[in-house]
Amino acid sequence: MVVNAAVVLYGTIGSLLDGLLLGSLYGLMALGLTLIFRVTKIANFAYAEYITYAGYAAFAVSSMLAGGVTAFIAGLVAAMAVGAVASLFSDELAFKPLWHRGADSLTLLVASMGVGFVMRYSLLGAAVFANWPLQVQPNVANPVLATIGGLAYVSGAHVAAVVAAIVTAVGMHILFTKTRTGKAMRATASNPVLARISGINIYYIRRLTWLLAGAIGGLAGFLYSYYNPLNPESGWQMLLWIFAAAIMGGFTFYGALLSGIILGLAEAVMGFYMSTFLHISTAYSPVIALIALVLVLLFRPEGVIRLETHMLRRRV
Amino acid sequence: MARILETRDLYGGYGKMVIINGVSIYVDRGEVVALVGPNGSGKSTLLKTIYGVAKVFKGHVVFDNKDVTYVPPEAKTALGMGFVPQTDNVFPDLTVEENLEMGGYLLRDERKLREAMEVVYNIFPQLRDLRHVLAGALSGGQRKMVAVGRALMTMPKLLLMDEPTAGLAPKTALELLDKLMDIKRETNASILIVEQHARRALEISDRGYVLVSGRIAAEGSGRDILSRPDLQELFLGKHG
Repeated sequence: MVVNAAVVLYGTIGSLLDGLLLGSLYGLMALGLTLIFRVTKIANFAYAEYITYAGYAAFAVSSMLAGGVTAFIAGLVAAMAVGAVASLFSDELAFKPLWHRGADSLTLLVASMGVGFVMRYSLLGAAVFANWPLQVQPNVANPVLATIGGLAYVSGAHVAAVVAAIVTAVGMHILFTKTRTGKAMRATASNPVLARISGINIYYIRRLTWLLAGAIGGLAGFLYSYYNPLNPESGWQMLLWIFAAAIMGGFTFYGALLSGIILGLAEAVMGFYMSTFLHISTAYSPVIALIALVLVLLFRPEGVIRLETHMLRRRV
Repeated sequence: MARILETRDLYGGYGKMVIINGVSIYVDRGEVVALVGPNGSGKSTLLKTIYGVAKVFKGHVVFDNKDVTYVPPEAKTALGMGFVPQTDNVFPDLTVEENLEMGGYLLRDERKLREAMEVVYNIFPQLRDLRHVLAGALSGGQRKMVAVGRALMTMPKLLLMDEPTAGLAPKTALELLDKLMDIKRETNASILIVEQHARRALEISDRGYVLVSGRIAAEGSGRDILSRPDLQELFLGKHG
């Protein structure tokens, strides 16, 4: 079969644009996971469910409205609020009590799988009970802003995802390096007893961390469902990419964003070429993320960016 | 002289383990009090119990005429207490300057924070040059300076110090002790200090307590304790 050159060109551009969108979302999701990990040392598998819950909250709230800007804002606010609350509750009800009893990171990781499982299938049960459609999407139109060659296009979701991811990553970096609250988060992670002795209310800092991480997950959940329909397992299905981005990023904020974008681009572009030239189903595209993760862990185990090494270099 | 700190029949420890068995001590305003005793006698645990880092089982802690027995550590710091733990006394993942900033977390005013930082940098000039270095990358002596400097940021009325010279070379250790006395004179803070250099600690202190197996075995002026031959043999001989 002869492959049309125009199809290849515009298909490549389109997959680059979609990869950037998807990658920004992976990066954004990884930012919340990174925040929780850096402050509480929990590799939180339940994090994916905050994203899904947020998407459903946006669907539920926006469906009650007539669409348009009001529905967009209401959906966004609902998603971030539900993500934040789901995140805080999972800590207050599960992780914090275990931590108080001296649970180590591995115990907390397994507990987070349990929390995620309960959350995921509660939502599935609720969806069946409420007779929701199999897939949901907020009642918000995603306008096409520009088309390229009739194949590639830029939509509102593309712009929103990229802007949200960059703004959040920069915001988190500023929070951690410039503000007293962010430094107190790092201090709490570094030495919780000394943090208390220094006058830091570590329980307040912990609650703030979970709320913020959940809100970031909620923002990502809203933007994801703005572009793609969502089902009760959507967050869970993306968890591998989220963890891959956070790990490749060395649990730094800029690292997570950059890694997410690399993963999204690799998946979309390689997926397009594989299906166009080799006729390999795009269902195999997750392999690309895994290969990227393995390569990074082999050659740069400290992640694509590592904050600490930069800071150590400043030693006088 | 008015009491700044008093413990009354204090019992403390970890989990279900009682290590401090009914300790009653006091520190007057402007006083330096040394807490000495053999290894494992509970000196560190007593300080931690007073500060609320270890568990209180029974008894009372009174600071500045307020019962603070069950007040959490962060609130004790807000009341004007300060604590330099023996180990884990810096934030290794934060720079020197950020460590000091966290010490001054309760100073809501940015200007006051900078002023307090200047005071600490003047006491430990070395820290000024190291301010952008992670505390985890410092030498033992530099780390102790950060630990003490962090606690000084709020200008506490009472400073609890747990072996601030542990692990330092003898010369550095004695220099640090002299520095602590300078700080004391300048800030008029009261100090309760646990010190391995027992003889030196008792010499510079107004009074001292000897802790053995979680109980007060002897108390008196530093000179009195140093002149008692029975106590010398118990623990002073080795480090004196």
